[in-house]
Amino acid sequence: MEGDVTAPPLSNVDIEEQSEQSFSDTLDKLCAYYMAMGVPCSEFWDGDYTLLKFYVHKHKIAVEQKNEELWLQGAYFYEAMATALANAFSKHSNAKYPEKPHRLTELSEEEKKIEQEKMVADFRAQLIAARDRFDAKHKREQGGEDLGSRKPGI
Amino acid sequence: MAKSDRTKIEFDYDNKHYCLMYTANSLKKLEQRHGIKFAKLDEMVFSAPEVLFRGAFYANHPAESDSKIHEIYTSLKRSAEDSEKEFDEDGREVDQLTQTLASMLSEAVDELMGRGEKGNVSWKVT
Repeated sequence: MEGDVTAPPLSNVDIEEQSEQSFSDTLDKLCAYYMAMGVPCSEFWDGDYTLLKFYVHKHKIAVEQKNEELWLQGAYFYEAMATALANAFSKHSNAKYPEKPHRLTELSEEEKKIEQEKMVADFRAQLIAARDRFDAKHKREQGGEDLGSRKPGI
Repeated sequence: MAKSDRTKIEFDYDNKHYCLMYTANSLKKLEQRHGIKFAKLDEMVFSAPEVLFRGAFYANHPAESDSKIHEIYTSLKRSAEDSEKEFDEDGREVDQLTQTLASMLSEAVDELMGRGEKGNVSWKVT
């Protein structure tokens, strides 16, 4: 889908060629258009017309925000479907729907620091777990070797 | 609140301050009451400048009498005629008052039509 959804409906109309309708009719149509953007009726008819562009700008931002919101909703839906399908069709799937929403705003310095510390702690925990697993395996193997060496003696 | 940058005509006459400007409402009244054709605005500026001047009173001084407006117009026109003359593209003489009224109208129409920033105007005023 293409096109500017925020462009005034009559912005491209050549006023010289507007023979079919009066300028008052054009203004009535424009009033409805600006009211849809949040301009009060009295503001349109009796207010400062130079402020109308700010309402248009605000409307453009709102349209973009809505568009991003819908896109995000689609992304969450996709993720939910993917998780559900992976868990339904795969025995060994560890797919999990995110526990919390995706972060949309940039992290603050403090949050970045906390996040970094958490990553370091997680990594350290993984290293310790790996070392423990290695030690346990090593012990088992040593124990096995011991048993094996003792076997002939039994 | 954003600062307004619309064109206005401000003056004092008989110890009263006047601020002339156009709104969508004044444009509608200009067309409905005075038969101003916005499609032929460049012609209207020459054929009915006083009517356009009258239209600029609707926003802030709607109760001003026609005779008073005519008096003010004559007075302003006289002083405008004394100032330096300018000519439009067709070589027609334009006084400063008429020129200002024309640019105020042009600005109002453009802003209302949402093309104030683009400058995509297919009709010209002088």
